[in-house]
Amino acid sequence: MSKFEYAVIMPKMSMTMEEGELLSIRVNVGDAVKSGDVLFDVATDKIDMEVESPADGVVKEIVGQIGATMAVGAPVLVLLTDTQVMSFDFNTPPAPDSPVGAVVQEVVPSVPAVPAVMAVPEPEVIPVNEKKMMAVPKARIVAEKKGIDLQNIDPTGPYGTVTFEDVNKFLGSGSAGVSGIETRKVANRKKVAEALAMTRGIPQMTLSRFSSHTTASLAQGSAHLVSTWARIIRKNSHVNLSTHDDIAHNFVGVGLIMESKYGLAIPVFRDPDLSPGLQLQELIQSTRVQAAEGKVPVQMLSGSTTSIFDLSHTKIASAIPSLLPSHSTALSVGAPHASLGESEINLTVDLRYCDALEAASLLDQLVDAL
Amino acid sequence: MSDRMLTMSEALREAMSIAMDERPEVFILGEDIGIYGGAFGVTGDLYHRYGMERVRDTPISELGFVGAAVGAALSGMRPIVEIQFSDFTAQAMDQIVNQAAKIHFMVGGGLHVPLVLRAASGSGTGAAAQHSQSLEGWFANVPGLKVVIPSSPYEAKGLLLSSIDDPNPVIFLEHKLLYKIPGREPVPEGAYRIPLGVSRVLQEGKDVTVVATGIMVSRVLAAAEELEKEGVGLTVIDPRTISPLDMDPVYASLEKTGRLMVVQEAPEHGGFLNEVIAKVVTGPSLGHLMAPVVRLFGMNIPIPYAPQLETAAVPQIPDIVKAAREVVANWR
Repeated sequence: MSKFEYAVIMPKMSMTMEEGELLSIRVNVGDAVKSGDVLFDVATDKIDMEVESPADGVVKEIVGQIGATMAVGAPVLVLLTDTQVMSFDFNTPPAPDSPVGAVVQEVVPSVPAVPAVMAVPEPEVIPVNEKKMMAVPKARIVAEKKGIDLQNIDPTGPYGTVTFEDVNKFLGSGSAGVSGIETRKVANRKKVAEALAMTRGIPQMTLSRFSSHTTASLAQGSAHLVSTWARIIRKNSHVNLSTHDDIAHNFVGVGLIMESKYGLAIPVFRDPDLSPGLQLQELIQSTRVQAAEGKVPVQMLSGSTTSIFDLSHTKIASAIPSLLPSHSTALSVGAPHASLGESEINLTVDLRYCDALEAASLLDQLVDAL
Repeated sequence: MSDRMLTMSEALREAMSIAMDERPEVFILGEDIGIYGGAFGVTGDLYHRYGMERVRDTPISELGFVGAAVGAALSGMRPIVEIQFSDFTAQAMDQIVNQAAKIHFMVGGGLHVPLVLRAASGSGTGAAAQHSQSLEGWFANVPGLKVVIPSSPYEAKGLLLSSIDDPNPVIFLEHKLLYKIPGREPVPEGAYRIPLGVSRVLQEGKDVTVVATGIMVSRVLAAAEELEKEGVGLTVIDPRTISPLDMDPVYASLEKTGRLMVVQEAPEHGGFLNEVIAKVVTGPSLGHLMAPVVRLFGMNIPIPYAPQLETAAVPQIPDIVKAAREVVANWR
């Protein structure tokens, strides 16, 4: 049952709130909580508030320190919940600076859905860290013998421990053949699709242009493309804002769609145009490796302001990019044409923030810069 | 097979009588064991039957008469020492630990100390902190000593005869509450011997393997009866001797139950049955465990005098029922 991980975050309780103090934590790791149970107390200069559990589940991990001042959107604790809850709050911008960098490898919510206080508008978060499941020795041994990944089993024992019976039930249920990776892929795919569905009603337009940049870009992975696009976005501040509260970002976060063990991952590269090219190239490369293993550092899972789908290493000529929630732009780059050597670049814009001519200008700026 | 039911006092007296009949070198010494018949009536009429040479009252000096017994054992006798309350072994610790337990090894095996030290132990009689302890852990931690804890009259008789036969010093710890109550099974007439170092599986149940010593064995059996009605089955194992310790039945049982519970009256901290847990988690049974091990031990406090507190300080039947029920419910 408790299959899905949710990060419960520092909520945004007022339009101007950027950080809050964690007054107290009312639960312990391993506690079972019901939807509506108070998890922790938060204070700002204006208001003190109880933060309730978004769903039934078990407290998996506590990240926040009592007394600490935490940025809006920073994870306070991680729940293992029975059902996957899908809810994005468009009133909350991405966390400007996630303070959880220090615990990167420790805490990674598999899905960002935190109802009502969702700080991560992208559906990009993937299960990152394969935490070692607690299991009684007998369960562990039987699971190993039968080739079952304990990650797939809903623990019903105290402290979220997999019991012998859990393994037996799993064996009996016939789901033993489905790998944990597959289960997560399905969940992740749904998550991404549902998030994209949310931007469907937005008036949008996609423009395309050929570009002959590709040889240089290919050699650098996606680094050249990412940093160039970030520079264009930074210059055109009307498309670098959060479309759910119209608050301008003072940074550029480029979500780069890549392949992961669990399906799509969209790690975010913060201000890539400001970092040295080689460094960015290495970061993208190492992130690709991490993503392939299903591990993306938690601080790279939020804060995107635009997205890129780079297909230049594939045989796909073009793809219509979809806007991610709160973004006003989305970019895709196709594979270079076999004889012409040019690639098709597609740009989708939210027409409320960028009209057709402005979009054309953006695309021109990009291709020229490339 | 006789269906004769005896108390543990009677069974022990019978064993000593048989041993004295069998071997002229067996004699008993201790405080008030002669004409008075022993503080708990264990020696009874033996003084009148065997005379003051073989049933010897001693001064109130454990250090003195335990030392005398060690010397007698070294010179060919088979003394049975009665310590009125096991707490008083503290007075004689040097003789027990540094002399009796070591001499055989210090002289290259050339000497034996065939000494049995019987001591009344445990709480439940309102005798307060200095007369109620369960000190088996002290002795179990001394190589060279054997430590026997009978849980019933039947066990007491057979184990005492084996202890008297044994060429090593044996600490024989008798729970006071068992002296006066009839046992759970008949005690055969005549001599029979229960080997030291062989655990006994008293009953088999599918859910929890319970290892218990002394008075706790009867409490676990009573709890098992109650749990049986709820469909919770206990396998009850009485090690009978904790030094040496026979773990094989525990390992075998855990294969079936996957859950271990240990129950002893002695305090938890450093308590002997922790050793059973240690052997399980460091040995062949670890992979069979499907639940955390449950420890029901005495509290880490001196035994209180107030009867309610004395009862509360050590595991009782309802505690055992509750703990077993919970471990089965929580860890399936």
